Amino acid sequence: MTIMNNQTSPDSFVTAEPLSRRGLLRVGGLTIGFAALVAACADEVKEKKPARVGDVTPPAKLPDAVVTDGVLFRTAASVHYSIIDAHKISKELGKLSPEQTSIVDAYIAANETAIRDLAKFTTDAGSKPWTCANPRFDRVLLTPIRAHITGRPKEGSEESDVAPSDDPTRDSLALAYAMETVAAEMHQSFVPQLSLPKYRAAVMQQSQAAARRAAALALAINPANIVNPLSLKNANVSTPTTVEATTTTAAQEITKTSAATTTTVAKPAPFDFQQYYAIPSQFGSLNAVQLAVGVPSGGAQFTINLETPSLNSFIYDYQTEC
Amino acid sequence: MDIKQAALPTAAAQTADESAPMVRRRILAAGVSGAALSLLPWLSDRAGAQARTAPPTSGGATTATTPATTTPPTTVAPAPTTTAPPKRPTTADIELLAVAQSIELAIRDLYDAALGAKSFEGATAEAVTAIREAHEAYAQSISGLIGSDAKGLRSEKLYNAQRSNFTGSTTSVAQAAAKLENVASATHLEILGSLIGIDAAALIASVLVVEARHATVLNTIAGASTLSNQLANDGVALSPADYPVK
Repeated sequence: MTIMNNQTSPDSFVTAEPLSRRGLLRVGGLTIGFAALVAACADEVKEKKPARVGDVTPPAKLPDAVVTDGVLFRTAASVHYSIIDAHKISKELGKLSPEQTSIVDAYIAANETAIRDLAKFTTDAGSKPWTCANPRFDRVLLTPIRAHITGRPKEGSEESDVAPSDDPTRDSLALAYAMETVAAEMHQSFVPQLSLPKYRAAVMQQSQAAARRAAALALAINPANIVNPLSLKNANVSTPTTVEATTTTAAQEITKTSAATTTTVAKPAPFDFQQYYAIPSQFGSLNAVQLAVGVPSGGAQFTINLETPSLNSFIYDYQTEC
Repeated sequence: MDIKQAALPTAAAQTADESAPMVRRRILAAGVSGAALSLLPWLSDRAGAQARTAPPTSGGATTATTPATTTPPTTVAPAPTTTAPPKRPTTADIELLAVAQSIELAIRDLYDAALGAKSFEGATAEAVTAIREAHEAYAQSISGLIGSDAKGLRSEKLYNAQRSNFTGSTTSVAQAAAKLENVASATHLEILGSLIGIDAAALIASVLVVEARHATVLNTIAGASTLSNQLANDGVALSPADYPVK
């Protein structure tokens, strides 16, 4: 049995030991320090590839995406092609009157003219003209818009089918208005990105033409929608006279127990459809254009934000095929 | 159990107990040294890796950029052929912007004259008032951009030339106003083609696009019966040299 005690070890017990604990630590530290020094002074390792078995195909190198003046002109042309597609959807699905159809036809022709002008500037800027629609614009915007006019079976996690529009004419004209507004905004958004003043003037020539078309269409949809009420408010104009009279609804008389058991059910308020104005703002806006289409459901309409093109929807120079 | 005070070890006992700690310590020392030596290749690798500061050169898969990302490529892009334009307006820009401001103020005052003469009524008057306010806002925005270089004075030449057209019937005044909006839009487009500074270009662009809408609305108020009449854009740009700011 070991005898436990509280006595310190005698000095001789340690000093007699050739390798003390302190010495051990000192030797260890020196060794590690020396190892680090040697490591720092070692030659640069050239070969970094780890050992592996078999052969792996190296990942494909993606082309470089550089935003140039030519890319912006190509993108603008691609969006005009997409707008033409949208106008054709309006004609196809909108059950438009002859007057409305002639407006849309004129807008298709105007967009074709814009494409020709943009092709010239694309070449001037050193790029190759783009000759088809913007694939991302079509996929992300036009496809769902079309689906909410025509209706379609449910997809993915959707709970129900998308019902066809209750008023295709309303939705088609709204689509045409939104497209021309997007065109105006797109060209305006390119102004700070273009390098030369003459190119900025060129895109704004297209922008103001598209803005005129949007304004005319807004007045064709509703002649009373001249100025956005918010702009009127900014202008200190007190009451817009174009506002419809408010509809009064009778409260549901649940507590009234008469002999007859019929109760008066409150009429649902009329749905507040999206309005489009000839002059939507005091300055040219770069906000997303909100387009609402389809049959109202649950107190709301399908609304999609139409953004001006950006880095993920530009038509870069390396994109050579439509 | 009794705890007894231990007696000091004798020399013989000390010699006998020395062998066990000695072995342990030597094993520990050997272990630490061995561990340090085994770390040597790893540390050497690390030190070598830290010495490399330059990124890999082009040609490797790591330098590829994705078009869908928001980070513009910084490496192997061809050298830009033009220098980035300045944000602030240049001296020449300021002169052009001052002309643009004087035109905007003249248009505002012409609308004031038309509204004062009761040329418009009801919803049309409201719309024209909003258009008038917009022109004032354009002039103020130019002041905000060029500061004390903005004179804040209307172009008397333009005002006097147009003044008589802004009194009379709704149709005639709307026609005159639509033409003037087209002139303003064309003038701004011309100015935009000369502006160097980005801020000034962006401002003028945001002005002229709405003036184009004004023209369409006013053409409609004036009774344009066809789409082409509504979209009519017959404005001829004013030359800044002909409308100097005094």
